[in-house]
Amino acid sequence: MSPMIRRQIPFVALAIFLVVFALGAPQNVVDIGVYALIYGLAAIGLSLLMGLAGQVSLGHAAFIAVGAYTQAVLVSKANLPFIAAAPIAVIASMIVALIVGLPLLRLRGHFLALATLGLGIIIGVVVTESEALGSTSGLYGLPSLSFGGRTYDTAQEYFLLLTPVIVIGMWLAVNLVKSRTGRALSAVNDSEVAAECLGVDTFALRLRVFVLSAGYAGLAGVFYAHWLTIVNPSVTHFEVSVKILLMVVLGGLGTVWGALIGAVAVQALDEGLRALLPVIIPGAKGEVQLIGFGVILVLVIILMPGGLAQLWSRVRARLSKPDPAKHGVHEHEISQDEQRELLDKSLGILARTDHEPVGTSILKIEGLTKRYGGVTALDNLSLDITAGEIVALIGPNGAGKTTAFNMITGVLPPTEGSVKLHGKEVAGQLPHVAANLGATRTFQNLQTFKSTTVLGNVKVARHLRSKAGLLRGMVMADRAEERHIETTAQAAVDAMALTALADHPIADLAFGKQRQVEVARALALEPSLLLLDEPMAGLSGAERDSLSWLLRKVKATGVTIVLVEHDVAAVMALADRVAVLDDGKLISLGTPAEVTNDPVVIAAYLGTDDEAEATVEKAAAEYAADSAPEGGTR
Amino acid sequence: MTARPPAGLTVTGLHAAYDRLQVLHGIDLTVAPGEVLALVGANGAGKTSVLRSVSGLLKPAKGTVKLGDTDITSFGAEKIASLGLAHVPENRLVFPTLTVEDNLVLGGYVRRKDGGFAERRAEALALFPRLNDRILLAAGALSGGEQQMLAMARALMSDPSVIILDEPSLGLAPKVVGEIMTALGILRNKGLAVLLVEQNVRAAFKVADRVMVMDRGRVVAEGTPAELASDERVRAAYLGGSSTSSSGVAAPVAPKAGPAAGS
Repeated sequence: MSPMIRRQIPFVALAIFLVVFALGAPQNVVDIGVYALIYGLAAIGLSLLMGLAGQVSLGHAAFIAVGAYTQAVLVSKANLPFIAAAPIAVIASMIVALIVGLPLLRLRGHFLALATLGLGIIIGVVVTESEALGSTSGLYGLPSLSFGGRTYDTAQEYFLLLTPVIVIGMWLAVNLVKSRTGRALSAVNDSEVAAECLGVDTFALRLRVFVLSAGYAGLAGVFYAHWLTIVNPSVTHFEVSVKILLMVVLGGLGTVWGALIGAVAVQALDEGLRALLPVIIPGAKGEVQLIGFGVILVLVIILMPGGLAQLWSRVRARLSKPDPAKHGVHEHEISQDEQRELLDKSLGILARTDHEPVGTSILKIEGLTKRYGGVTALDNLSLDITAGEIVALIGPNGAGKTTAFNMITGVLPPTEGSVKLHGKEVAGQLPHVAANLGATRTFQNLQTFKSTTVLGNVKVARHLRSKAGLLRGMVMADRAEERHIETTAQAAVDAMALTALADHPIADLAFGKQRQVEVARALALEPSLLLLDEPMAGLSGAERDSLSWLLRKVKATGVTIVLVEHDVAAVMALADRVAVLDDGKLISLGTPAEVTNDPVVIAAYLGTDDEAEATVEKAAAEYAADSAPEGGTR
Repeated sequence: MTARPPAGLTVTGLHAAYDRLQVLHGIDLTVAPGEVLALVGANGAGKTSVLRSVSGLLKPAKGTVKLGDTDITSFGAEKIASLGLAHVPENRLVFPTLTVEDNLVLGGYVRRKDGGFAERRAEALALFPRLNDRILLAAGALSGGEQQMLAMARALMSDPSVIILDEPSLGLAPKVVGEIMTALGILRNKGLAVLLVEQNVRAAFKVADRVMVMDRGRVVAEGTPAELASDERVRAAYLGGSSTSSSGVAAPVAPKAGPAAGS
């Protein structure tokens, strides 16, 4: 069975289950089910926002309210049929989200949460004060939903009407999570800076997901209005937002299936406990029931912070057979020759042909300066880097090498100076701008996407080399492109000799291996300028040899490489030119031979072996003299 | 001084696993007082896992770990630290928002009831005089090399008899690597047992008395630096440096003299 068909099984199962439930369950249970599905729609949207965009909405009820009120006005006042009014109501919610998100999603942190909290209050006040919207009593007397010649006014019928809506809503959301957009957003959650450096425009994607999530809430509002046949300010209440939030948290943060299951669980707890508690504790009053409800939720959150989704994955891990690949031997032995052959093949897949001719200037740095308060981290650096060369940036710790990288790639704005990439100014722009121009990087401190596998990390780098947008991903019209992403990402993984680890969660890998994944990820972008921040750190001698070999091959395909590295021997063997920074200033620039013999560089950075050995001997002698009288007590 | 009697480290038949992924398949090693044992090998070979098992951060599935004559296999990390085994982790992990001074105070936490703080502090700072000038700076503001020095000084505040270090040279300038290795030499001469995991083979070989090469959870070669450096097979398969990078072993180095007098 093809994996694509296998991916549809859960949805078919869900549809069958919902239909059987509607037909078989008692009336009052189906009634609870209707609410679970309505709120579930909003929860699916919120789970996308929280899981993919990493943002919380504390006022999701506002979007439900906008959808519900719009629908109510259109149907009862403008006499539009359901099918014409519903899309307008959904779009109204999305427009409100767009207006809120446009300024706020540029900011990092919890601004969106606060703003949506405020939005919830504003919408609540507006509908309460507005005469046209019925003030506190709201709009009532909506006609029962009739559609396709049928009227849906019993719980069972309404549930059956909601079933395809939920199944399709789930299907679209799950597809989105697995699509190019979903992958990029989840990468942003793990490491925004790394995702940006791979060309992901985080703001644009977050905004789209926020608007989409409001659309789901708006649709929930439409069905809410028709089911209750009355819309009043209670729909805007904070409790409703909290309830939706609870559904997502309980179900498992950011998992779409979790949101639906969370919706059922919260609704069942909410309604079911109220009926159950008086039976268990005779004479229990409302407050006692609410306390019981709260206690259960607190317990769940303490015992299962990952929600029901976590419980499910634990059960599945228990049931699954032990993976033979995970037992004993870590990976297959592969000879160096085989590896190099694989690399050649991979570079064949990845090599771009449109690199600028060797010798043309591709990166022009002028007067680049960074000051933090009184400290000058980088002082007036000017450097011209031409296509097809390997330039190494060396210098003592804290000399400003990484700061220079950060400004070239847009991670930090410079205090002064300019960085021109292929003639275009990138200083002060976001990293995805430089990435778009073909410059990407690795990081000194790991910036991997921890929630996914090795291959998953590398696939993110194909973002710029693929096009499928949010909608195409949602309806699975991106299959051919996804297959291409898979092939190219795999090629980059092979190139770094990580083939055997491709499907391992990256968090399980040793530190140095994770660094190699970063290099694979950068290669997968098919950059014209590759910036590597200490690529050799944490690698063993043999691994360093392979990496040097690989970088020469990459250079041969026309890629320009700038690297910061402390392994002087490797640097000198690899680089065409070496730039030495000390205390923020460029103190030497030239061929490896020129630089290694520069007395300034030796004093500031390299040191001499004789020096080090002399220190050891001196220290040892001093210590022996100091501790001689004490020696006997040991 | 509150020096404890010298005690070595003995690991026998160590097996360890993360979940169901077995990473160590029977590791045997000893580090005597006044000795530096370097553990080298490719990434994922299990070097870090050995250190984590020794310091109680990873529960071994099988095997024993002894500190002197005490079996510490089943002890928790805090208890092991208080018995005199200090772990300097990968990436230093200093407390970035605390001052250098406070980092040192926390390093001495397991010894808080024993007194002698001032002496241990003076001794740790004597090893890295540079930290004296930065004593009131936030640790996060130090350069990479200074952070490594602080991580080691912090470890020494627990007055250990065994110190284990995970890649102290990571990301450091050659000059600083020299200083760090020098410090290790001094600690060895003071009678500490030093277990060093290091990718910078050249630097490690200079300071180590013995070297073990690990591959996929097993020890595959063992000897003095000179023996291993002159073994073509080991060099080609594990140490590198054959063609380009001389992070590997460029030439056999002279064997170190044994533990210094006085220990």
